[in-house]
Amino acid sequence: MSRTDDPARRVEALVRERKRVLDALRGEDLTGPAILRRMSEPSTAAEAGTPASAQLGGAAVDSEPRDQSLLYPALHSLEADWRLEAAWLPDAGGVRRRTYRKRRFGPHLLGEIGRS
Amino acid sequence: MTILVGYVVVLGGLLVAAVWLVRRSERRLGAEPDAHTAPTQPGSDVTAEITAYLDRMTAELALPAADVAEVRAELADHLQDSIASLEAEGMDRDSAIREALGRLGPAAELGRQLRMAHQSTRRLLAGVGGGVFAGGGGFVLGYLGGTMLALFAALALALATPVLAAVGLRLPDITSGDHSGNAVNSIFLAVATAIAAGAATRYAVRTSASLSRRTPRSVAAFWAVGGGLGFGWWAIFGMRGAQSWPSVAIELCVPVVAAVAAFAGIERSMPHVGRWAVVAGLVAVVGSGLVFAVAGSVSSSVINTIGQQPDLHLDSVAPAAPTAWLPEDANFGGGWGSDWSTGGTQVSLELDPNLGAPAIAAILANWREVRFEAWHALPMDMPGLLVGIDTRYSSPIEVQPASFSDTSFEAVFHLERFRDSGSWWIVLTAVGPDGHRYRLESGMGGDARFNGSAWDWLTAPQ
Repeated sequence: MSRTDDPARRVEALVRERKRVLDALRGEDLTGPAILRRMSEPSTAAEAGTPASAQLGGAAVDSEPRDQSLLYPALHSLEADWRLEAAWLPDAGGVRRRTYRKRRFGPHLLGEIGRS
Repeated sequence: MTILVGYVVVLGGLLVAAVWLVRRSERRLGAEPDAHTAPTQPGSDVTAEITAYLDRMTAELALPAADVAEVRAELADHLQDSIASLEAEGMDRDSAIREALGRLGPAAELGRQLRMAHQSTRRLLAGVGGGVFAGGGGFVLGYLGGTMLALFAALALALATPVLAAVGLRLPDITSGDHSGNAVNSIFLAVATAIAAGAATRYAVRTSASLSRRTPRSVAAFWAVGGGLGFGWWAIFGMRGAQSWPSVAIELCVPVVAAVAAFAGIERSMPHVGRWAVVAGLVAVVGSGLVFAVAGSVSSSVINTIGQQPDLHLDSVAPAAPTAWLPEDANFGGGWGSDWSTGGTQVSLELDPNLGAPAIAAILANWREVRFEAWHALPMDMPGLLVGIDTRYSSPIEVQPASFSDTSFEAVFHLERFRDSGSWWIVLTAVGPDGHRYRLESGMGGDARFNGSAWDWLTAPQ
């Protein structure tokens, strides 16, 4: 995650964030904070190829949850692209939270079929 | 019959789908988020600092109301979770709030990022397509509603007219001289079209706003231009049929109606359209269609009753051809009918083929500049009246050169393009050897009604 005023860098950072979100979700239903915690796990960061010490254009790319500015833009843009679906589901305490899951079928499948 | 049922099923299905899409969109554009999805209020732990942050973020969102509420609720939930985690790590509450807000970044920037995330190109395309689809459904519903409204207005007017007349107030008769009901029909059609255009544009604006995750006002200009041009073109140039001055005036207002409908009170919800409203509209339209069909069949049965006519005043057109140049046994047969390819009136007069080719050639040799002349005639849609040339007119409505093939003279008239051609009489004339024009045949009569677009009406000859 990176905070920069350069639009190109922000797009690049958003693309990375989207990939990390998708990797973090795997096949589970997770809320935003849960996704954030999953993304902070070393295994997820390593899988996504974004080590905590990586640099992006001179700005620190922080895999720690200190900069969360791109988490929700990434989640919502993935939802808008039909990669994720979201629903307000009750947690264990009965409080409804916005929960995300990967879509099984969506436009991304066309790309995967094309690649295969 | 099968095709008709198929049409009804398919169109009914599309209408139901359009209404469903509009109602779904209305929920998203509504002031409150869907009760079955997002919580309507953020948690109770939301502080003034968090509320102020969310307000600054919301100012940049420019999304439909339900999306704004969802984003606020989700971020409030996230912040509460984050603050609780930081407090668990030993941070005091004020510091935890500041840290949690700082991690999300500047509120305005987050709002812009979220707006861009929501307003994707895919959703924009879905909005355009959904808007067109919903606009189609809105047009049908608006047409049904407009027809019902026009029916009620006509009924109210019919009831009010005698009451007003009793107290000495006489309403202007906009249908004076219109025995065929063209003026009333055209006004009905124009009112229904104007209301349909307005409803379609509003449905398109609100549905496309919902699907593309934009505010209705931000997409209104696009649909105002599209609706104004599309429905305006249709109302002024494309919609053909009976016309009258009131209907043309209403049709000229259709582009303005569509454009205004895209903006005026566009943030307000569309009225709820239940299935019974659709059923009532269909019943009203089908019922009124049947009434008009029955009325039309009754009125059409009284026209063209020539009967015994002492004098058709044909000499006011031209004197009968001398028998020296047109023998008495040279009879003509034929008549008139619709020319389906052009919508005009085709007239055809055939010389008796029993005369033989040499005799016909000898007759034709006497005549040049053979033509059909359409003249105003005495009204034929009034039973019991005399028919024939209306001698108040000194010139024909339209003249067409007669084309001769084999044994027939033919021509196509477009009397339906004249505003007030009304009853007509068509006579075959030609210039004889002495240079004077004579009447070869007494001709035939009929009744024409204007048939064209509003633009045709405006540019039509009298």
